[in-house]
Amino acid sequence: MELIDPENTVIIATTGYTGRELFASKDSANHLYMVGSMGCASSLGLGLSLARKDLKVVVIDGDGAALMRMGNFATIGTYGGANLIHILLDNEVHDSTGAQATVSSDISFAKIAEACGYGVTLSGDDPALLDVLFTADTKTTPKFAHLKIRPGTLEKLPRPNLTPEAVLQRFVKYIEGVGSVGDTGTRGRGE
Amino acid sequence: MIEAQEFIEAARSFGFDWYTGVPCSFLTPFINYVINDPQLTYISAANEGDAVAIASGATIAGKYAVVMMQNSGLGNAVNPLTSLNYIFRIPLLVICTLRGDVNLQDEPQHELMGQITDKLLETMTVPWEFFPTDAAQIEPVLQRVTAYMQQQRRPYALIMRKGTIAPHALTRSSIPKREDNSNPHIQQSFFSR
Repeated sequence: MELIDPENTVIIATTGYTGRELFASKDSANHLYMVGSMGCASSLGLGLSLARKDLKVVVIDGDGAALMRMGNFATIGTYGGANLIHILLDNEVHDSTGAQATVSSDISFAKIAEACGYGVTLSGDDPALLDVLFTADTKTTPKFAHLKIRPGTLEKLPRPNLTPEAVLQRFVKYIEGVGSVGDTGTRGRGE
Repeated sequence: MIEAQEFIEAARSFGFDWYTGVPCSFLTPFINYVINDPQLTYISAANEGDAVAIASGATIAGKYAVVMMQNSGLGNAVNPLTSLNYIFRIPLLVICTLRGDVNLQDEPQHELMGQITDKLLETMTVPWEFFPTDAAQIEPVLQRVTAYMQQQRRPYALIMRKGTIAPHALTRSSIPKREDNSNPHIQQSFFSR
């Protein structure tokens, strides 16, 4: 989280334990904790990053979610910009539904991302790869890291104490206040 | 029958300039019109559910976004429509074409979905009406769409029947190609064992 301090950065965490762990480690207005819509975090991140090119959008994805909507790797590789960072935390299980295994153990998501057009594709089990991920400069293409992690979580893992709607409203307010949003004219009538 | 321009320009005046989806032949004139205009965004999604989520990301950023799909793909969109857009309250305009229309003879795979498209939307509590077939209807429809989206902050659907939109030719490349990237691809492995 120390790497994700800059004010123009937002984090979108996939559904399941990931969002809850992000909330538990540090709750912040620039976090969006997805619930439901499994597999949609990277798509949501893509749309946000394209519509707000001044934001650095970090998506924290999971192996089950990425497998569920794997086509989106190609969409990100085609349209995504350098302001999109896609991190896949791979514990090889569907942790929040009872730790049933996914097929990810021998899957190279980094190769998938490379084949789909991402500009940086890192993989490993060493969190040091995140330093490289955040400092690599791709100019125009999105960045990806596949980090193997252990399954399991805190014993009493909390859930966000805001409703999803409230989390989103807080998030929207945060990004509206970032940078020179100014007169982008995107709000249409009546806002 | 209406022209793509009539709807898309009217939609633009209401703030809609961001489009994504998976095609239906009925939507081709729209998709072509949007791609042809560099001021409009079109994202060719891999799956209709992805399209809903991509559009939702743009909406969070302040855009008025349109998701276009054939009714055969509506099933792929059920999960995000019900657990993302409804729950987080993220409005969208969904244009869903009606294959398997009970009034027409269509291919066999559309038979059931043609009968249940409206009911499926209603079951998801997504209000719908038919896509305007006459230019005079466009503005009132968009008024209802945007009023709902602003007040309820949830999706609104227009069901499009065959023959609604006149053809419109594609004049630009439909998928962006990256320029020859002088930056080499960076690929690195960080396994401790």
